[in-house]
Amino acid sequence: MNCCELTRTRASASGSIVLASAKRLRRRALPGLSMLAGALAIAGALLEVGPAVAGEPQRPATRLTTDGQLKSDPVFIAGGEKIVFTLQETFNQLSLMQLRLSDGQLERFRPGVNSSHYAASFSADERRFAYLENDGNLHVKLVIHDAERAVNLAEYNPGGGFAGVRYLTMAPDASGLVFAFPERGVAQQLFWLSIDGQQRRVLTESDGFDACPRYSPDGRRLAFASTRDGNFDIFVMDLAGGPVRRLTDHEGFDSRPAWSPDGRRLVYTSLRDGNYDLFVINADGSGEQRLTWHEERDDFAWWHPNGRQVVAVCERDGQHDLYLLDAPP
Amino acid sequence: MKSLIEGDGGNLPENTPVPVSRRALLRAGAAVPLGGVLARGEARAASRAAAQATIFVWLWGAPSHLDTFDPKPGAPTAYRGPFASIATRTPGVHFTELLPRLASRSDRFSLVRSNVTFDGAHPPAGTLGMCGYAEGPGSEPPSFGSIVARQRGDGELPPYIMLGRGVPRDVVRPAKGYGGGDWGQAYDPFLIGCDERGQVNIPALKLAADLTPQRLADRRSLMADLDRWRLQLDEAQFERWDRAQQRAFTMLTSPRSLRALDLSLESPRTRQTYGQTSFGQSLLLARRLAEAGVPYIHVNWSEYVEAWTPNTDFGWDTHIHNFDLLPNRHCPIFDRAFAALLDDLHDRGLIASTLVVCMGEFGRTPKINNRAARDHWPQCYFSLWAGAGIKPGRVVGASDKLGEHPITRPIAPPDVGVTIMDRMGVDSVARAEWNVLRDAEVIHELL
Repeated sequence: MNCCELTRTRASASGSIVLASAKRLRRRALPGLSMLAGALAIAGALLEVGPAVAGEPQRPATRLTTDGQLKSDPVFIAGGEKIVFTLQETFNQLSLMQLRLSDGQLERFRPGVNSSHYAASFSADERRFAYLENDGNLHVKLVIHDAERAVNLAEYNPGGGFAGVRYLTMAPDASGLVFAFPERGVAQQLFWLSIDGQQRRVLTESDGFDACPRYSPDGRRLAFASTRDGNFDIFVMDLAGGPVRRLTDHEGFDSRPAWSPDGRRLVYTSLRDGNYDLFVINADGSGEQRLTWHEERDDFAWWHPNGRQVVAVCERDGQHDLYLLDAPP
Repeated sequence: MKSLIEGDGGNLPENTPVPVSRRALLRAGAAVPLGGVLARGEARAASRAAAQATIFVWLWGAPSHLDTFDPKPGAPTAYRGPFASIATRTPGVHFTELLPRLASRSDRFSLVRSNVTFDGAHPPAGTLGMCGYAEGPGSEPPSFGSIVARQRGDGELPPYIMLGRGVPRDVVRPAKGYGGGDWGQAYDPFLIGCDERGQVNIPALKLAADLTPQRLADRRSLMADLDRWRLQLDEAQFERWDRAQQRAFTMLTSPRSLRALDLSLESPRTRQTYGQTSFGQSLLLARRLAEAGVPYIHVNWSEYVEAWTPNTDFGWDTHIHNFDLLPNRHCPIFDRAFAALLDDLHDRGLIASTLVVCMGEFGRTPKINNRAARDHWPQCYFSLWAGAGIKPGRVVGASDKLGEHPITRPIAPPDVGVTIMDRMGVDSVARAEWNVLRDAEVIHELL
């Protein structure tokens, strides 16, 4: 671990700062490794750790969780006050969790769902959201939920037998959503689905794997990852039509794009240097910048609504936690 | 401090020595047969064996060979998959980009690319992979671990330990070939669970209601219990416990055994290196058990093969989501943990006496299925070998340009078994006497 010769612990996002030695923090931050058993140990405090990112000592990362369990797909909601993410809650269960940043309170986001459910996506007003649910043997369906009425609007079943919806993104205006599904040969396409789950149309028809779609904040563009040109790279398409634009061109795996709130940039994951790291690129493909250099994994990034930070799942000392990183200006 | 070991809900404070040894218990007058569960008369000297221990890493569910250790970048789109190939430390040898740590350590192990098996369904292929024989209506041969257990005999720790949540199975049934088979329950593995925090769970304890680790760790209650047991636990009653319960009791009265199970005795740095996953911490526990003299440790990636099925634990059976689960979850966990095991064995000087074998029960279809994933493929797959005289940095065997079939001598499960036996000192005389693995060939190219 290269983090923290000195570590700051703060009682709340806006609270007072307390200094603690790195050793003391390590004991607190690694409950699993000190044999504290049992349930999640999300700290009541947010831990600001610096420098957590090698090569960027001037840019401390804030550790938001401390249980170290496998995580993925964090998204901000409530104006950045909360994060919904996927947690490997038990050895056989993925669950959507909701973390309140003001006090570190962590709770199940969908407490009534008892099978693995993950990868939530929200409309801009957060009145609608969708997620994926493992509802049978090698079978994953898509669930669309009305948060106001607390009812499921629709469930999209991809078919009988082994079949699974992959990835999803809900349109900001909640008119529908886009998901990935392999329906034709060895390729995987992107599909648009109406919010009631009744209408569906194919959006992409490449011979590659199209994955990880993300609506732009204005709902007019879609960023996604695709192997249409050989290996996973980042692409953007205008939903009103026009050519698909390729943003990255590396031999390594580039995936999981996420839009900045102003729609001008994307953060994404790349494996180009033999490790999962985060990069930022302008939506026109220019100005690529590297965000992380750590020797362990940095992945699943999502922009904070303030546009100045991203949350990501960072592996540090073998633990997977949510960290808040400063985005390049 | 919460418990190190979970049994019947009991707790064992970390680093707490259990105050009464098995010998002391016997001296105390409890007339119970706590000697080795296995007959020592059959234990054979292992001093001349290349390996004192085998760590058998079982990637249950079957990882794709093309997406891991046998990429085919020149194959048509319908075969090659979306992952790039990367160079390894071995000149001319490439893995996929999902295994960067192991690529940088390819000089620490050897790779077989020409494994084959004879059944395309998980439980029977699992039986083949673990014992070298097909399931059938007749006899049930013993597993590799059971053969080693018979050769080495019992010690303070069971000679054949399986780390995992349960014996390997799919949602329908277990694989038969994990244990003693016709040799009986005495040669079954002793099952120990290890979670992502390194907390150890011994299922057998749940069956012995009185024997909680907490009670054993509490000296006063233990002495009281011993007095009570001495009165109550006559030989007949002890014999009513099954072998696993007897072993659990024997083990928990041995401080040395308890130390072997206590991952808190490792440095935080070491524990972190393996990663906070059940698989990673299980590999670390396997190293500790090998160090403590357990001759055969089988580490399960998962109990169930299924990758996406409610109540199963994310096996490698990726009929769907293969190209999602591998980069997002499975390969990063595996790459980190297995690389850590290799490094740790090297750093501690254990690699010369510890055989490491890593494989699944088969490969996955080179041709991508219509769900953009891969199905079962017993005709060709991979295995990894290290330690105990295995020459590192080699690639043994080769598959054809699509990864469908070996173009060199196929390496079948009995060959895997005989090679393990060769390293563990179970010679052809013993195998003939026990009528196991008689017609197979050592993978000499590894040596």
